[in-house]
Amino acid sequence: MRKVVVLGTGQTNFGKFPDKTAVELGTEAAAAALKDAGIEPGKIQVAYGSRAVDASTTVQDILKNIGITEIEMTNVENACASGISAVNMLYRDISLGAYDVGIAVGAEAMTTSSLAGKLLGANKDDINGQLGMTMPGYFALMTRRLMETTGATLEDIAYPSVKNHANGCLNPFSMYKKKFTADEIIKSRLIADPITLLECCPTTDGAAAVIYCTEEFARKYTTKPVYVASSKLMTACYDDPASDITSFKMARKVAKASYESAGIGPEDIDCIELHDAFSPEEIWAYEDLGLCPEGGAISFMHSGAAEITGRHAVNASGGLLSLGHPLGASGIRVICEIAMQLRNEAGEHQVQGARTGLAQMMGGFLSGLQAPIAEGIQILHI
Amino acid sequence: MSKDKKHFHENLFLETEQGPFLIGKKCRKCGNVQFPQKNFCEKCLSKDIEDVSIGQRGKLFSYTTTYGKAANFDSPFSTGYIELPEGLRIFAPLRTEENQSFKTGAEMELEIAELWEEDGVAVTGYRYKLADKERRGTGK
Repeated sequence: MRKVVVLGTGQTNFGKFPDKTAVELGTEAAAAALKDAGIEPGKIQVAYGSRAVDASTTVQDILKNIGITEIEMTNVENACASGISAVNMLYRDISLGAYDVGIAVGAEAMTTSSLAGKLLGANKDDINGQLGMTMPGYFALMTRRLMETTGATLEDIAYPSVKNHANGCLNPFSMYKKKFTADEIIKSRLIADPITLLECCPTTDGAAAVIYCTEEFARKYTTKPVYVASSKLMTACYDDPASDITSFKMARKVAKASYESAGIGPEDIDCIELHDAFSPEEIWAYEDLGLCPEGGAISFMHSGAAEITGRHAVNASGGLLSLGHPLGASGIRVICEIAMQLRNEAGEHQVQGARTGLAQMMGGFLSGLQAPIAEGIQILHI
Repeated sequence: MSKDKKHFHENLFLETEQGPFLIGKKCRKCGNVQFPQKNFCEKCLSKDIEDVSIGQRGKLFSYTTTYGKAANFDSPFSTGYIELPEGLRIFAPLRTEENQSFKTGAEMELEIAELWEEDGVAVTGYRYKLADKERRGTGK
C-alpha cells in the first residue's frame, strides 16, 4: 500500500441556491480543489462523482466543464454516504497503485430536487419505509430510547444543536449563522417527537471536492502534506434485536477497523466531523467513535470535550445542522474540513494544534438492516 | 359501494380464527426468528427455515409521532417498534385514538386494517394498537 496525501480541497458555500444546478455547484468545487492543489486539469488520472438525488452522469457533466476528459470516471450512490464512498474508491486506486492522482467531487441541488419539501422518501421495495419509517422518525425512536435508558434530558438532546449552530457562526461556508439557546431549540416545531425542527439539518444545496495523490506526486506541490491514515467503508448489516437502538453497531465496527488500520486510538483524535443530521445523533456517536467510555456520552458532553476548545472538537464547522446536508456532497465536505483544520487554515473555527482528525459520514435505512446502511470513515493526520 | 382492496405486499400477515398474525420465518438450525420473510436465516445463513406465526402481541419498545408527510401517511402519524415475545422487534404504524397516549412497555396488539389508498384501492396492512387493558387505563 502506498501512502496517500490530500493534495487539494474545494467547496462551495452551503445554502439555498435555486438558480444553480448540481453540476454548476460541482464545477465550482472541483475547480476550487484543483486551484488549491496547484495542479492543471490534465494531471487528473481518475475521477469519482457522488450524488444521491436525481443523479445521472454527474461526474462527467462536472469535469467536462473544467477540462477533464478521456479518463476513467465513475458515479457513486450510497445515500447520504455517497461522497465518502466515492473518496474511499479514490483512496483505493491511489494506495493500491492503479493511479497516482485523482479527484472525487460530490454535488447536490436539494432545494430544487424531487425531494424538496419532503421527509426523505422510501424505496418502493422497503417495507418499513412504506409503513411510515422516515429519517427523523427513525432517529426519534432512537432518541426516545436514549432518554429512557440514560436519563438524557431534552436539554441534553438539544446540546449538539446549540454547539453546532454556535460553531456555524464562525464558518464562512455555513448556511446558518445564528445561535440558538436550548430553550429555543426545544420549543421549535416538533418534527418527530422528541426531535424538533432546530434539531434537524436543513435542505441544502452545495458541493465539495478532494484531490488525493501519492506521497511522491505530492512532493512537487506541497511541503506540508496531509496524509490519509485510514480509509474504511462498510455497508449493510442485519438488525440485531439483542442490542438496543441507542447506538449504531456498524459505526462501532468501522471506527474500530479505522483506528487499527491507522495505528492510533480515539484518544489521538483532535477534531471530528460527523453526520449530525439530527442533534441527538451526535450524542451516541461520541460513544460509537470511542471518544468516551461506554455510557459516558452525557458526561463527555457536559465536560465540554466536544467544543472547539475541547479535547475532541466535534463538528467545529457547524456540522450538518449549520451547513445543511446536500447528500452527495456532505461526505466529501467533512474531509475538506478536517484537511483545512490540519493545515491550520480554518480561521475563526480553527481547532488549535490539531494534528489528527476523523471524517465520518453515514447513510440510509432499509427494513431489516441495522441502520445505517453505509458507514464511511477517513482518518487524516499531519 | 365497497372499495377495491389489496394487501400491502405478499406473505406478510394472515388473518385466522385465532386472530391476525405476522408470517415470520424460524431457523431450524439456530432458532433465529425473523420478519419480513427471506428464504434463508439472517443469523447463520441456513436455508433450513420454516414459516411461523408471530407478533399477535408485544410490548411497545419505542414510539414517535411524525409531523410531516411520509410515503403513504399524512401528518401527523404515529409509528413504533414492538418487542415480540418471539425475540425480535417489529417496526409498525400505531393506531392512534383520542385521549390515548403511548408509553414504553405498554402491551400492544396486532391488527389488520386499511392503512391508505392507492388510486382508489384500499391497501390493507398491519399495525399495532394499545391492548384493551392499556386503553382502559387511559379513560377510554
